[in-house]
Amino acid sequence: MRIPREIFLLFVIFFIQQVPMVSDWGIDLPLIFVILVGLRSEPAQAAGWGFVVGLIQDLLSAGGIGPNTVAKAMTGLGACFFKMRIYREKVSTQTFLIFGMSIFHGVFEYLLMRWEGSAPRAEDAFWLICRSVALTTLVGWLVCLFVVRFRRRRFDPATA
Amino acid sequence: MFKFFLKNSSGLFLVLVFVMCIWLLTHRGTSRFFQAPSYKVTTLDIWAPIQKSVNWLISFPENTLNAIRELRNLQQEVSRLQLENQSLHIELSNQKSMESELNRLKEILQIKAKLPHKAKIAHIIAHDPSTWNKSFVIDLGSDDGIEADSPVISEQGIVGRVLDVTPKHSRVLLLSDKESSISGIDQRSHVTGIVLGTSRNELRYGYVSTGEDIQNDDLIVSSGLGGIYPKGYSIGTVVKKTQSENGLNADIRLVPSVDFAALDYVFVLPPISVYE
Repeated sequence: MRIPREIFLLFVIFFIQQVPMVSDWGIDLPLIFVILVGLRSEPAQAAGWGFVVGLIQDLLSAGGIGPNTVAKAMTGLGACFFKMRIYREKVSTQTFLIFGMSIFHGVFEYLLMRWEGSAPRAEDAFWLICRSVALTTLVGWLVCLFVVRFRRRRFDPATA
Repeated sequence: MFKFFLKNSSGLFLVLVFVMCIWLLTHRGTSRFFQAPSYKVTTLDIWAPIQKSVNWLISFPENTLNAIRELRNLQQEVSRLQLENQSLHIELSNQKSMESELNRLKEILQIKAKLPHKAKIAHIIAHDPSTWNKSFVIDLGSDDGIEADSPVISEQGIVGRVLDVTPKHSRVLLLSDKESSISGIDQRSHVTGIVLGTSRNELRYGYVSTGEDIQNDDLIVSSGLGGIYPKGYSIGTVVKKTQSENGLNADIRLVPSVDFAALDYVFVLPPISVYE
C-alpha cells in the first residue's frame, strides 16, 4: 500500500462526500474506502485506516467526535477479518462484504450514539440505516467493478 | 435587260444598299415597322441564347478556374465562420449564465431588503460528510461578524443556526439534524410545540397532546421562544399525525419549508439578543 496515493484518494473522497447530494442521500464513500482498504491490509493497518478516516469524518461533521471514529475502526478490522476467511477477488463477494459491513457500521454507530444519548428515534434511525446501506452498497458495487478489473489487469492479466 | 442586271449587279446592289440606307434614315422615326417592338423582341429571342452560349463557351475555362479558386476561399471562409459561430455560442452561453446569475443576485438583494433585521448573505461551501448529522459550512466567519447561535434563514424559511465559528468560516446546524430543536406554533390553531430534527428529510412536532387541533397542511412557524430563532418564520408543513406509543402525545411529522439540499446561499441574521 502506498500511503501518498491513499491520502490523495482520501482527499478526493472527502471532497466528493461533502457535495450536497452525496451526503444528503446517505452515501458513505469513506466507509467504502475503509472496507476496501481493510480487505487488502493487515488487521492493525485496517483498524488504523478506519480510525483515521472516521476521525476526519467526525471532525468535519457537526456531531461529536467518536461514533464514526470507533465504528469505522471496527469496520476496517471486520473487513480484514473477513478477508482471512471468505475474501476472493470478485465483484460480487466484495459487494456483499460492503453490504454486510455497511449494516454493521450503521448499527454499531447507532448503538454508540444511543449510549452517548445523541441517537435519533429508532424508527428514524432504521430508515436512515436502510437508505445509507442501500446506496452505499450500490456505489460500492460500482467502485468494485472498477477496482477488481483494475487489480486483475495489473496483477493477474490472465483472468482479466 | 436581264443581261444588263447581270453585268452591273455589283453596282446595282450598291445602289440598292444606298437607297435602303437613305430610306432607313428618312423613315426610321415615322414608319410603323420600325416603331413596333416585335421585331426587336424576336431578334432578342433568337440572338440572346446564341450569345449566351458563345459567351459561356468563351468564359467556361476562366469560370472554372475562378470557381476552383473561390471554392478554396469558401472553405477557408466556412472554417473561419464555424470558429466564429462556436465562439459566439460560447459568448451567448456565458451571457445567459451571467444574466441568470444577475437575476439570482437581484432576487437575493430584494429578499435581503425585505428582511426586518440586518442579514448577511453567505454561500454554502460544503455539506456534512456524516450520514447521521445535518450541517453545512458557510463562507462567513467571525471576521465578518458572525456569532454562534445566529439564526440562519432562506427565502423559504428557517434553515438552522450557527454552531461553530472560525475567523473565515462557520458551521450551520440544520433544523433537520437530530440535535436541533426549535419552538414552533401552528399558524392556524396556535398550538405550540417543539420542532425536532430527525436527521432525515422530515421534522417532528413534539410535545403536543393527542387532542390538540393539528391538521394536515397546517403551517408551523417559529414562535420566537427559546432565545435563538426570531418569531414568524416558516418551519414546515404538517404531513402526518398519529398517536404516539404512550398515547398521550401526538406523533406529528412535518416536511421542512426549506429544501436543504437545493440551497446554495443563506441569510445569517444577528443573534436574537441583539434586536430583542
